Amino acid sequence: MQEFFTQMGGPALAIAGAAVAVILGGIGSSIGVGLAGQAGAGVVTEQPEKFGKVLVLEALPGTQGIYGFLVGFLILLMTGILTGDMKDLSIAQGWQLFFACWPCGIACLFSGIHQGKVAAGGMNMVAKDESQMGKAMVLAAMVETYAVLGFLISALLVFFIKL
Amino acid sequence: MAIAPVQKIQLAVAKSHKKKFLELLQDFGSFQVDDFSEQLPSTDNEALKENQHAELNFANIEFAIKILTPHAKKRGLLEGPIVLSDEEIAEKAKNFDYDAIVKKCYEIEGQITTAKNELTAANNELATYKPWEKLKAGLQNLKGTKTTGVILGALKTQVAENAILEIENVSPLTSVEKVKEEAVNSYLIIVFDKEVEKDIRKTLSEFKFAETEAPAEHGPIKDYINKIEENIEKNESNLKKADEELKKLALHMDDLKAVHDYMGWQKEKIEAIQKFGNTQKVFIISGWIETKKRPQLEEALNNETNEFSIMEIQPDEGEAPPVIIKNSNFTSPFETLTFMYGLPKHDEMDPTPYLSIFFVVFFALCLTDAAYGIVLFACTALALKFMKMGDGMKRLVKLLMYCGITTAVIGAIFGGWFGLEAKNMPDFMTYTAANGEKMFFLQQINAVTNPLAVLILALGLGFLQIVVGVYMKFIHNFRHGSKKDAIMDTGTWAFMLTGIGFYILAAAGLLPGLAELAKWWVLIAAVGLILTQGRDKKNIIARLLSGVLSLYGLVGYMSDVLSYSRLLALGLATTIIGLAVNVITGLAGNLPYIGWIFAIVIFIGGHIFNLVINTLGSFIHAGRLQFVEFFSKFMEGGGKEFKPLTKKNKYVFIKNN
Repeated sequence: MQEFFTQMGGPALAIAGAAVAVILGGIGSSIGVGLAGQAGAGVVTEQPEKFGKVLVLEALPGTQGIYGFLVGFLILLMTGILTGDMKDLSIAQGWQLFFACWPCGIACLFSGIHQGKVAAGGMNMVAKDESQMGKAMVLAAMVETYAVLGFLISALLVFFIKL
Repeated sequence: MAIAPVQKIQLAVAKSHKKKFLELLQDFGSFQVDDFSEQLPSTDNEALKENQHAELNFANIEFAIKILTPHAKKRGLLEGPIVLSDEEIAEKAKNFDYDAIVKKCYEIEGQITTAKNELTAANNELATYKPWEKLKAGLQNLKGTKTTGVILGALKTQVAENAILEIENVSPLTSVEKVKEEAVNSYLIIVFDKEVEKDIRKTLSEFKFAETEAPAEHGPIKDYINKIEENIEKNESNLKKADEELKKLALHMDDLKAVHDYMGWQKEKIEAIQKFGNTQKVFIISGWIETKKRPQLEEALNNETNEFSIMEIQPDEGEAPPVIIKNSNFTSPFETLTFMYGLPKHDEMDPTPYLSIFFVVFFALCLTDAAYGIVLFACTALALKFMKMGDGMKRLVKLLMYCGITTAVIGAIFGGWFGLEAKNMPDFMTYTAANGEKMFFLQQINAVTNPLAVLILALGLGFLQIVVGVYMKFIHNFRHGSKKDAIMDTGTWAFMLTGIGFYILAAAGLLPGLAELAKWWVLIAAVGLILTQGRDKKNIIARLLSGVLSLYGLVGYMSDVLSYSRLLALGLATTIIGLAVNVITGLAGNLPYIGWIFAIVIFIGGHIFNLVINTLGSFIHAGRLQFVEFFSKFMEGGGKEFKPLTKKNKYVFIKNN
């Protein structure tokens, strides 16, 4: 086991971390945007003129995927993968970066799904009364808070882990 | 700057002035008609009839517009919406023969429905009979004779050979012919002796044979199919004709829309009449008016007649007055946010002016890119200048324009310029800060290398806003309610939070010599809270206990403050997406020969994406901080909106004379 990790090395762990953040955030947003989009398509069938509002509401659960992407991008940036001269990470550093990605990944996964559900509910509000759009958005934004917090911690960790 | 005072008034007007009076009230546009018809119900049916007529008229025109919209030419963005004056609209409603268009629309709609139905039926028939095209026998011969029967139908091609064999085995007096074979289905015609019909049908059902009823016609089936095809062609051309006619009618769209809005006014008026109380000679109206505007109404009425009386009345028990919020030209765009949350109650404060500064600052912190701020400002300013918008839209765009300004300023302080990094920029744009870091001109903080400073700033601003909220509640309650309760309920908390603020500043070493004082302040405040928060309990121990428990409220305030950490996170998100766009742009730019094209597309597209998605996010999150963290400190909300009788327009913008 130990040998496995030694062979794998720090950089691979860091990349695994980046993958976790991007993949989990991406799953969360895909499901969330999917849920909202389905409900939105129903609204647009009946009232095509509301497409703009529906689109905005559908976009809300999309931010989780972006947060995940950002953490992944930060890892690429901080480890020097992007610039072509990758830093020589120790196994310990690799693990640190790996775990640093989890708060964002997991929080975005669940927050994305549930924000999608709230946004889908918001579609009903918009279908009934366009002027309730703002309220629907705020309700959905409540769910996003926790993705934001997860992203914040992950980003700070990636920034401040000594490489 | 606040909630405008309103009063409930009752008007009695001679019936002879009904029409004129209603028009006057609608033009006045600041009187909310309440229902008074229950006390003095109307006895004439004329109003009811008029109402039905108005509704029908309105629905007709709505229908026509709905049908014609897909065929009408869209108005260009710069052309803007239809602009007319009141008189012009009334003129159109009088002279424009909308009834003819409505009638025509109904007619064409009927034709379209018929054509579509016939088309569906014909297409179904065609699908059924097309495979039998090659059948030569006349249709009249497919009914069978006294002793023979005929069955037409289809079954799966893979079992067709088997089926034919088995059917022929049933009796020698049976003939099967395959009329057509397709990949999936084969079509058979079977002629048989009627005595073995049962056996034949049993065999057929084993092969899942689907029988087709021959049409009751004469002649070869080919003729019949031709007839169906002709029918389809006819209906298709009918549909095309109908479409063309609709397109012609749609040329009158603008006029129709004007009439639509005019009919809307009539409907509103007639609906208001239903709410009037009636006596033999007089009708009585009760409703709400902004106190300041009452003299204007009286004057307008006086110009018309002297056969009226007006007086203030008490609202019914439990009736909450409607809420009107008034703000200066500068702060009124922020009403967008207040309306989004819902109005404050009539005895609460209007939060609009207080949230304004916080909102634009928080928005800017979420976006933190001076270049984005400038783009946002430019776009919204241009839109305001060149596009016609409804009032609500105008307020929103103006609000975004303010946000653009603050974003430009705060973005410059944070050194955000399209997410570019100062260290890669030419020297004339940058300077070297005291700590040796290369920074943009005007930049004070680098959020990427020093996020802690930004976090502290965000939490500090959050703390400030929450303290402001608590003070607002305290001052409002002190002025309008029991002074004792205000001091004990809210004053103690205001005192406590101020003390904590001091304490934090002192602990950070910013208030030398005051650390001791701050400590005592907080302690005294804590004791004050323990002594006051359980006042309603009778038992002294329960009183102290709930006092101590109330200190738990501090956790609530703390979690509120921590919620402002999102300002840092969203700001970082903007910066890092911008950074990512730039890195990818750089990578694309390295491609040989055509790299620069990709680079330009990626740079512009990426930054537009970043701007749009983060403007949306910044708006929502800055708004949320107002609604959830700020409003909850001093207002409940749930005020009823003031809904005066006005001329509401859906399509036409009214030109002011």
